[in-house]
Formats: sequence, C-alpha cells, structure tokens
Amino acid sequence: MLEAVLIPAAVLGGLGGLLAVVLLVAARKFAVYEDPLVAAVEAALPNANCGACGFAGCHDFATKIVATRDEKMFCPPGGKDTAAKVGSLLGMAVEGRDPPVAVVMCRGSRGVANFAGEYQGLSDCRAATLVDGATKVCPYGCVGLGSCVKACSYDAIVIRDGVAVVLPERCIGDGACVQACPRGIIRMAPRDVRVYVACVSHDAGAAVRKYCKVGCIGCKRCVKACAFDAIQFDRNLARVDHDKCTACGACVGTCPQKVIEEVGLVGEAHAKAHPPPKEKKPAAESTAAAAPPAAGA
Amino acid sequence: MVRTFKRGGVHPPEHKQLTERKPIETLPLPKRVVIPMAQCLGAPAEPTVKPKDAVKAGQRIGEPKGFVSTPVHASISGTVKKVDLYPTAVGARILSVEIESDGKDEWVEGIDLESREVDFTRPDDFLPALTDAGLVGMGGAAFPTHVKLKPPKDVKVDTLILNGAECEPYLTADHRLMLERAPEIALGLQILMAVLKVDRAYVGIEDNKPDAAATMRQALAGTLGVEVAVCRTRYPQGAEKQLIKSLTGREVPPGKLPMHVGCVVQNVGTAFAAFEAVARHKPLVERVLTVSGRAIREPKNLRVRIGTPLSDLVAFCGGAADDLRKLIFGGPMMGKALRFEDVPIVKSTSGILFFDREEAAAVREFPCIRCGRCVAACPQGLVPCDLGDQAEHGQYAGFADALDCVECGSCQFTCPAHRRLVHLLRLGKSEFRRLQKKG
Repeated sequence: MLEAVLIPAAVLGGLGGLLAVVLLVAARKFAVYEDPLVAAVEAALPNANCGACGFAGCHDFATKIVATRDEKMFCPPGGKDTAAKVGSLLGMAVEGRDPPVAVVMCRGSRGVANFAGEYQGLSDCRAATLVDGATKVCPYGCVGLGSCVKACSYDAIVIRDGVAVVLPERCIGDGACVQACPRGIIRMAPRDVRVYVACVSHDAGAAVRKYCKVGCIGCKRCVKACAFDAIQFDRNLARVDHDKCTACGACVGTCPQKVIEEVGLVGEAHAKAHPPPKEKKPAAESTAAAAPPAAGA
Repeated sequence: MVRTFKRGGVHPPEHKQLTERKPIETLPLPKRVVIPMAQCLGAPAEPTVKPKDAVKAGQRIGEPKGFVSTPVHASISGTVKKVDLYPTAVGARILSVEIESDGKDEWVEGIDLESREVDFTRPDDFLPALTDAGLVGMGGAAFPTHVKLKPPKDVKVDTLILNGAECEPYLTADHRLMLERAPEIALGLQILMAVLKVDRAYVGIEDNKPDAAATMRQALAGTLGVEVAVCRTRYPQGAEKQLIKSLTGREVPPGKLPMHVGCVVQNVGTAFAAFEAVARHKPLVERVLTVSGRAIREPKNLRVRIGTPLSDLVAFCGGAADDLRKLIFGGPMMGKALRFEDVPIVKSTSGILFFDREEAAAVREFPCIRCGRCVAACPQGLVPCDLGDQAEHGQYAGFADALDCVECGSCQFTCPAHRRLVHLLRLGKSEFRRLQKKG
C-alpha cells in the first residue's frame, strides 16, 4: 500500500531533481548578459508599452537608452518625473517635458456644423472617408464615428454630439488617436501651451460659413492681435505656433467665430507656467478669455 | 447555347420592367451645366477656360494630364460662369467648370451631328479621334478608353468583347441603346476592332434581353468574326473578368488585366460613343442613362448632356416621391449612395436610382453565423466572411490576396446576417494599400 505512494513519489521527485539540474546548467550555460541598468530603467518607466516614444515598448526603450545614453530620448507619457528618474539611474540629465496632450482641432458638433443625409455604412471614420465621409458637410472636420475612441486605451477621448472631445486629465499623450484619425484633425500639443485654433478647414470664409458656425473664416484678426507673431496663416486658416505662443489669450477674444480655444491645464498651473507678459496686453481681456473654456469644461 | 461563368454570382430581383419598354427620351437643353474635370479613372484634366469665356458645345475645356487621363469638353454652348470646387458624384469637392447656356446649342465647327460615314480605309485615324473625344468606359468605372485600346507591345490582344450584359438590376440604358442604335453600335464595334487589329469579337448580352440580342444580330449580320453571344442572367455577368470567362473560357489571373489573356472589354455605350467620335467628330458630351426606382414618379431612359444638374432630370421625370429615402448613382449593387445634393451627371453615370422607404430599408446587422453563403457567392473565389472579420478587427495582412475583389456586392446581397461586407472589404483593401505604401 505504501509502495503505491512511495514509488511514484520517488520517480517523480528524482525526475524533478534531475530536470532541475539540467535547467540550472542550461540557465548558466546559455545565459544572455543584460545590463542590470536596463531592468532598473524599465522599472522606472510607466510600462504601458504604448509606443509613443517610437520604440517597440518600454523594454526596447530602456535597452536603447542604456546603450546609446541619448539624452534626447524621451518617454512622453512619463513626463518630467520619469525623465528625472531615468536620468538619475543613468547618471545624466535626460531631457524632460510634461506629457503632451491630444487636441481635437474641430468643434463642429451637432447644431453648429451642418449635417446632411443619413449614413448607413460602417461605424468607422476611415471607412466613412472612403465614401465621402459620413454626414457632416465639412470636408475637413471630425467625422465623429469614433475611430479615435476605439484606438485610445485610456478612455481619454469621447464623442460628444458628433465630435471627438479629449479628456486632458486622462490623456497620457501616446498619440494613438492621432494615428487613428483619417482626417488628421487630432494633434499632440504641449500640455502647458493652451491656445490653439480649433479648426482645420482651408476653405474660403464664405464657404465655411455655409456649413459651420465655428469654422475659421480666415479673417486674420487673431494674426493682428498677436504681439508675439505666434499665429501663422496658410490658405485661409490660422494656426498657433506653440514655440512662440505665450498663451496670453489676446487672440481668443478677437475671433469672431469663437474658434480659438484654450485647453489643458487651467488656473494656477497655467499661471505658474506662464507669468503674465510684460507687454501691455490688457489683463482684463486675458481673464475674460479664460472664462469660457472653464465653463465649457 | 447560353453561356455563363462558373464560380459564384447571385441573381437579385431585376426590377427592369420599370423602364425596359420606354424609348430613350432626350432631356431638354439644361440652362446650366457643371462639368467636373475628374471624369475618368486617372488624372483629372486641367481646365483651359476662365470665367466669362464664350464656349461652344463640343469645345475642349479641360486638357488631359498624362497618358491615363482624358480631355473634357463643353456639353452646351454659352458662357463660363465659374471654375470652382463643386460637389459631384465622383467626390465631394471636384474642380469643375460651370457653363451658363445661351440657349442656342451651337456646336464647334467640324462636328456633323447627322453623319454616318466611317472611312475604314484609314484605321490609323481612329485612335487619335477616340483619344481627342475624351472617351471613357461608359459602364460605370470610367477607365480611359484609349488606354485600353493601346496595350503595351509585349501583350497580344486577339479578342474584343462588347459588354451588353447590363447585369445591374434596374438599369436599362444599354438595353434601350442596343434596341434603338444597333447599326451605330455595330459600326462602333468595327471601329474598335480596327483599332485593336483583331478579327474576333463577341457581343455579350444577358438572356433577359432577347430582343436586344436579336437586334444586334441583325445589325451585325454579315460582319465577319463577330458573334452575338447570349449569357445567363446572373450577376455579375457584366463584370469584365466574368464576361471574359463566360465568352472565351479564359480566366484572368489575380493581379492581371483582361489584356493579359488577350481580351479587351468595352461597353456598348462606349462603342456608340466611338462611332460618334469617328463619324461625327463629336466628343463625349452626352450619354444615355436610366432614371428609376419607386421614389421617382416617371422612371425613364434619358439622353442627357454631361454636367446636367440632377434637379433637371428629377423635374423631367415628374419629380421625386415624398418617401424618397435613398439616392444612388449607378446600379443598386455597385452604385454609390449620395446625399440629396444637386450634383451633375458625369460620363460614368449609368443610372440614377430613387429608392423609397421600402426599397432602401436599412436592415439590422447581426454577427456572422459562418454559413458560408458569401464564399459560394463570391465570383472571385475569396472568403468574404473571414476578410470582413479581419477588417473589423484592424488586421489587414490577409488582404494581400483580396485585392482581386471587384466590390460587386454578391457577398453582402446573399448574407443572411446582413453584414456590410463590401464596406469592410473596401476598408481592408484601402488600409492594406496604405500600410504597404508606408512600408
């Protein structure tokens, strides 16, 4: 009776011990050396494997940065904190920025943009653009079928009234939505620069007015209002140059179409990032302009 | 003997009785036309007129850009009003020329609208004449005709196929054209044969049009090497590759063109336009199309100038019914549903369908039940259900073998779960090409 237990136990135990030795030898003999720094750096990264850095996941990023010691390599979702941690591990200063945030350059929701017809095709923006882009008349704006929503792993973008809206506090800045958008209306912007033109229509003003109440009509008032030469103008469309913009908000109030918006950080964080400019930009206008997006958010 | 292709195909309700007995009527001259520069499957033409220019009917207003491109001509006489982007059936914003009619309908010198003379002793003049006339395939794809007629030197073409199958439901324009203009089509066929230097030709007609087959036979009696072949009424009989298989037994390999198996396929409408281009020096400025569907009061076959606004056709056909739900340019299987906009007729518009609530009923889509009907229906031997699944989940690698899909819609027609397979396959193919280009 006891044999029935002991013999199998001895056989399996012996086999297990033998295989353990084989594995031990194999592990020693075929071990691949990896810099312990790689594991340490990888642990310091967010490990979301989002691919925003341009490498195949966090391990790949860690391997590359340990091998090259390139201080320009940057983990966007990690932001400044991660950069500092990685820098201290590698004993160098790694360039750090706050994670960028996705902005949707369209406000053409139901009620302000014209819709026509009834779309019965696939619920996918790219598929819709193959058949003239669903039902919104504007040929540039948000298709509104949510390909970006599907692409986002962090529920940081939603469709509201037929237009995509980013939830900045959830956005980690991996740029998956930018890739997913067939019309290229989602862009990554620095989190601390808050002013941008929420329209991508290159149509002439008269044409824009026909199909959208919040489209850029190319009146150039914002260009004239900007004291920092930060608004570029190209084919009937204004665009904010984030390198020059100080987010003073002077342009926001001048836009007759209310296309220029402020996003991202609000209140104190913004004030800290951007002390009021020394030029005589009326302070009243700046605060007045900051009010509507706060109410909208 | 009734011929057909072996693999796949479906037989949707024909609905041709709405218009098949109605002679072709000529639409009154439109007051204005909008002529898109992009009217062929190739590079758009470059406009050569500017606002306030006076133009005559048949005058060239767009120069082709490159070999795979066709010139565009004014379809009425009058004044150019604007050169701008317009909504059209070929795209939401296409550079077009708007012409306001002077009501005189004056034609450019050298165009003889009554001539029936074709000088077969000088076949070398044919191809330049066809090229200058801006001919494109009239079946719907609008491929430039002169490109098809000039195969590369290493390709040997021995057979011309005239496509009179008209397998799309509702459409009867080709049917009526064959009944009413058979002698002209016969001459056009001989012109195309002379250009290609072939001595064998078929005219493929589905067996739901015996009268057209008889008329064409009569018109072609005594013409050597030409056979009017009756094919089974089976969609997509009129698709190039299927018609070649039905008539010659040859199979076009994946990724190859009909010319690689020695065939060139042209629509009967194209043959008629070829006749007009050679005998009358008349460019392609009008076409025959079918206006049908239950939501148009008087369905008709019409001869229409290119660029005529849709509203003119609707008014001529007694107006649209109140329960109009869907507007389709082309046939119901492969045509394109449009917004209700006043778009112009283009060279490729073979029909315009007005569907009422019942015809356009949007059916609910269910998950695939793996019945395999789409596999049996696919004339190209693909597995649409699997491809649809892949496209739905963003997997496009499998589409390398699916580029042969002609988007005929047989799979979707037969699907009991009403899956939108054509749209999925189109998405898959386009994404595959895009990703491949990106590398």
